[in-house]
Amino acid sequence: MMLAFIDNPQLLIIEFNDLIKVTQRKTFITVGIEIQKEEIRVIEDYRNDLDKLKKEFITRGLEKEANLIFNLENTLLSFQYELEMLVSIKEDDMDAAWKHLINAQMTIGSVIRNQPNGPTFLDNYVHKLSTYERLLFPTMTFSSVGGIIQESLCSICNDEYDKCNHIKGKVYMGEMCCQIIGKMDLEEISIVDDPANKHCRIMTIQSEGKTYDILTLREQEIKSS
Amino acid sequence: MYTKVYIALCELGVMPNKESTQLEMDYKTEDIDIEEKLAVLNLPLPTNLTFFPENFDTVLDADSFIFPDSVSDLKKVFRQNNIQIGTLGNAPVKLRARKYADWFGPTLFFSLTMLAENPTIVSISLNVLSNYLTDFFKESLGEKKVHLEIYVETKRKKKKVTRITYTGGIDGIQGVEKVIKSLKS
Repeated sequence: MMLAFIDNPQLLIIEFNDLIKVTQRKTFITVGIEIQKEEIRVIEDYRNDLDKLKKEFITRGLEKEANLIFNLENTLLSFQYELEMLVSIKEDDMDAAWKHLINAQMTIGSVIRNQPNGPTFLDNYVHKLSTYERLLFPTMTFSSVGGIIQESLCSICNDEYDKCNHIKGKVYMGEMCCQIIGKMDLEEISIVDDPANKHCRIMTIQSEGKTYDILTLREQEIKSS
Repeated sequence: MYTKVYIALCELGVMPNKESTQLEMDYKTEDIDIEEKLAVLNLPLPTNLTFFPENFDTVLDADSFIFPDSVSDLKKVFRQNNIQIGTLGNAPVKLRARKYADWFGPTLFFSLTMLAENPTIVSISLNVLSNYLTDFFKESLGEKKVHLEIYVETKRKKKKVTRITYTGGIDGIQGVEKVIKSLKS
C-alpha cells in the first residue's frame, strides 16, 4: 500500500496528518492505558511501513523524499516516546518515564533540525514536551563529561569524522549523521543544570545514611557487590 | 513541496508561550603579542583564515595543540561556503569534546593580508558561523550561550594581534564585526 506514495508523496502527507491527529488525542494522561498501548503498536506498525517506503526511495536515489520519510518516522517516534512516558507513569516506572520524555525531546529535535522549510512548525510540540518536564518531574541536576577525542567516525561514510563532509545531526539519504566517538581520554565530569544530554542525570540523593531515588523519593536498597 | 506536512501538529500543539530569555552579549578586547609564542612553537604567523588552538597561551609545543571539537563541523561548513580555513600547526588535530548545552567555538584568526585582500571576509565568515549556529540550536528552547574568540592582526610591523572574546547569544555574533571595524579606525 505504501508503494502508492512513491508516485505521489502528497497523499502520504495527508495520511500522516490524519494519523497524528488521532494519535495526539490519545496523548493525555486521562486516556486509558490500554488505548495508549494500542496506539504505540499502531505507530510502530506505521513506522515499519514508512521504513520500507524509505528504502524504496533510497533504491531510486530520491534523497529529498527519503529525508521526508526520516522526518515523518521520527515525528511519529517522538509521539511514541510521549505515549510510552505516559504509560510508564501509570505503571509507576518513573525512571523509564524520564528516559522516554528525553528521547521524545531529542527525537523531535532531530526532525526540527532537518525541516526543509526553516520555520519550526513543531515549536508547539517542543513546548508541550518541555512543559511535561517542568510540571511532571522535579528539578534535576545532571552530569556532563569533557575529554580529548582519540577516535571518531562518521556514521554515514564510516570515515574519520574530521575528514569527511557530513555534519552531525544532518540527514543524508534518509539517515541522520552521527559522530561516533570510539575512544576519548576523560578529562572531567561536571555537575551542571543545563547539559547536552539529559539522560546523564543524578539519580539518587543521600540523607542520614540512607539513599533515596530522586524521582520517587523512595528509599533505595544498597546492592552489595 | 511538502509544506503541509506538519500542519496538523501546528493546529493541535499546546502551550504556545515561548520562553524567551535574552542573553547578555559580552565583548572583551585586549592586545596580545603572539609573535614570541609562535617563535617558541617554530611556526610562522598565518596569512590565511586559521583556527587557533584553545590552549595557545599555555602550550609548549605544537604537537600539544587542542582545539574544541566544533572545529570539525566548522571546517566542513566553511568549506561548503567556499571559504578556505586551516588549523594552526601541522600536527594531527586533537579535539576536546564538551557535553554542555553551551557551544564552545574555536579561535578564529584573521590576518592583515587576508583582510586587505578580501575586505568582506569577516562579514562572510561571521555570517556563515551565525547561520550554522542558528541551525544547530534550532530545536532548543531559550537562548543558548556561544563562547567564541577572534584574533585580528592589526599592526603588521609589531605583529600585534587583538583578541576579541565574545560570550552571549547567536544574535551578538554579528556585533563582532563592528568591534573589528572599530579596531581599524
